[in-house]
Amino acid sequence: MQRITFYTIFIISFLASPVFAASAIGNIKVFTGQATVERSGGPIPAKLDMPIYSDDTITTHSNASLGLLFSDDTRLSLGANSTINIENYNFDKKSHKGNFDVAMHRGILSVISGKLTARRAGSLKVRTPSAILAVRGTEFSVKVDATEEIK
Amino acid sequence: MKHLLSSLSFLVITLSLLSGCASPEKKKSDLVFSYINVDGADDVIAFCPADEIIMVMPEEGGKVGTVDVILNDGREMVLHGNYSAMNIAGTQVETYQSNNEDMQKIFGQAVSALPKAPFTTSLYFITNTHALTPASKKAATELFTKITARQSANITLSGHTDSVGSNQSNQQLSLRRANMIKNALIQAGISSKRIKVVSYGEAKLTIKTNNNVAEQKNRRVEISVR
Repeated sequence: MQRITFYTIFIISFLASPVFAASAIGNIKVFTGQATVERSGGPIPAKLDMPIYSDDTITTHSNASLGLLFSDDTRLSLGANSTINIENYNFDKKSHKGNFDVAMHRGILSVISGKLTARRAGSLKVRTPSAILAVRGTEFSVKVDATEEIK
Repeated sequence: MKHLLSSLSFLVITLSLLSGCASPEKKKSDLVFSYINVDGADDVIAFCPADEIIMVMPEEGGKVGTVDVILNDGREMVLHGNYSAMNIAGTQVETYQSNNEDMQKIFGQAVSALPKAPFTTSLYFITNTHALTPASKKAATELFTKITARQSANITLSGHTDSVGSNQSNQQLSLRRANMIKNALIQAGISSKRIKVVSYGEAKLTIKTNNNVAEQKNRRVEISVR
């Protein structure tokens, strides 16, 4: 019986390991109200300090706001009723090379770019429904009206 | 004739703008005031529901921001300088100069949620003790206020000594220095879970010296806040 338990734990930890293999790329550093993070495995309520991964979709609810700090020091923040998706993030801590692609679906987003754009202008891109914003540096904001409001 | 053509094209554009924009269901707060320059005509003021607004914000240190905008139809535009803004409503695109008031009105909620920048600073110690110098004592009070004001600060403390004394005793001294700052941070209300302590003894001198040289700048704890 003990042996079965041991093997079960072994197999579970082995199956679970890919989840931990992907490393966090940032954290929620400022948070008020309610928000949801969608990643493989389903949506989870956002919390202060929560790690953020590539492919995460973050949605703030009404009266919420949320600020993110990424490993290259890029900072993003969302106002209420906003949705972004981290499409791609890679950053080499030594060379500061990499790419950061964010899709902005609706709401308001503020951006202060970090080491990625300091190393290479345009390495941070924000895709909105109408355009691609290539960031040379460093602070800007975007507002995208909710789809329901667009005729 | 030329003049007639240009005023005609101006009329067509204005009309399409108005018909494209007029939307009585929209609340006033959804409307954006924009200036449109068409073919050298006087500024036309139009109320237009904004599908997207992009705005460059002023930055610390006086640097000037730039964002390249590549529209879905292939057009490329550049937003450069404080409050330079763009309004995209359907196929209508206008660039204009905005201001702080409008920035706060449209983006204030997100702007105020931007996390504070990560930083690293040092506090200095009296020779062979884990007591701060008078100047660093003052600096520590200000620093702790700055750290506790953050919703989620993670702190790494690295303890260091100068090259006076044995490697072993300096290793212990650097750890005592870092732990002293850790305890002070806990006293100030920071959770110990947020504090990481490392100690290097005399292995990482800021000012490179020979062995057994007293150097104020080397007797320090580096505080990295994210």
